[in-house]
Amino acid sequence: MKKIILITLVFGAILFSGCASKQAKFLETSNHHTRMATSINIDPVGRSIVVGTQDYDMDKVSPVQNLAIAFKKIAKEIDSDEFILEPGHEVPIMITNFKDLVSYCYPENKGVDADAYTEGSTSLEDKCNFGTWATNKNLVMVSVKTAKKSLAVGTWNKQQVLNDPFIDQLIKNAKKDSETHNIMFFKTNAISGFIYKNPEKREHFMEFLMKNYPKKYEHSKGYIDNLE
Amino acid sequence: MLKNILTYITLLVVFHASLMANEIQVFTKNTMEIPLDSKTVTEKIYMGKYEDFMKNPSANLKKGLSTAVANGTIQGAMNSSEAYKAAGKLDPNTMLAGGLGALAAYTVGSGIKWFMADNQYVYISLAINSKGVPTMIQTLIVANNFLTDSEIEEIGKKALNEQIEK
Repeated sequence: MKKIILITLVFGAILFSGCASKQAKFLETSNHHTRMATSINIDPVGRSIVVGTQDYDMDKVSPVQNLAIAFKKIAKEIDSDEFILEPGHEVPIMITNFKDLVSYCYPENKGVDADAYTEGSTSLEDKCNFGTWATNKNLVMVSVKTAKKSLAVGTWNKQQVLNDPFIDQLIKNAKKDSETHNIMFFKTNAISGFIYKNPEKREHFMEFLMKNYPKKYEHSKGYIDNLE
Repeated sequence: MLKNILTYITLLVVFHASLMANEIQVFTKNTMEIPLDSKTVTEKIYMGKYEDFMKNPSANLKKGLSTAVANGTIQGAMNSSEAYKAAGKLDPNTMLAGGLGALAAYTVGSGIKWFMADNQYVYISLAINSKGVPTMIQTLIVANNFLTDSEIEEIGKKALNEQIEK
């Protein structure tokens, strides 16, 4: 009997040694599974696109949903058939569609946002950099450059992004989330996105905007204050 | 009783082994997005760690392309067909001209931390279809655990062949 207990303990130890790091990783990245998309912001040259959230306390953001909104916006706005991502995003040159981007950057996603599109990894790490360096960790920022097809570097295609069913599904889900979370969509010349229906909850977002994007803040303030 | 416990332990071991399996992602890009027919000729121009490739992607592509062209297998195959001849002689400088500017930004020292996570490898080939149009098939392999050269080669070749019509 002693032997059996010993054997069980040894195998138990082996089993859980493999789980330890995975458990920790899940806790770190679990914010990718509860999500809320919020604002879109195009800079004056129309090259950088910012997507963020006004939610600081309860819900966490979905970078995947936010990125979907950002890429749709890029594809709509960009004045070129082909484009590339700025290297600072740390997305390899081989990744030129949204499905690959999600698989590479957020490998643990499995049907959370759009069923059957992503495989879902249990061991690969999150990669890429879409501006979570900002004061608001829920902010996602994407910068792109116009480009031409070339032998050395593959490009993203405007039409492909515009017609990508994966992106459309993610945006649909983001909007659905916004309904269940009492959030509404708004649009001005300077900024558009999702915002709380409750004005008190908007204050955090406006503070963030004022601090980081003062011009956008000035532009949007009157409009957002009068929303209802 | 003992049998049941042994079965339980066996199941645990199998379960554990499945947790430790190497997870691999493969991303492939046909840079010029041209169809590759069954008469496409190919030549490997780079294989290795993504980290090493990204230290100087322009130079790595140029070097690989020059070697591939100098080897003559591609040019030889092209010369053997009328359609290929129309494409003329391969010149790595001309071929890469359009993309080197974009690649220049992707060099080490720009604060990019590409290679911090997972094991990442690249397998890049030049492919020229029967109309003499060149493209690059660039494959990125992301793996949870280390991959050997022969494993990278196998995955890279498979990804390349998937791009070519049967």
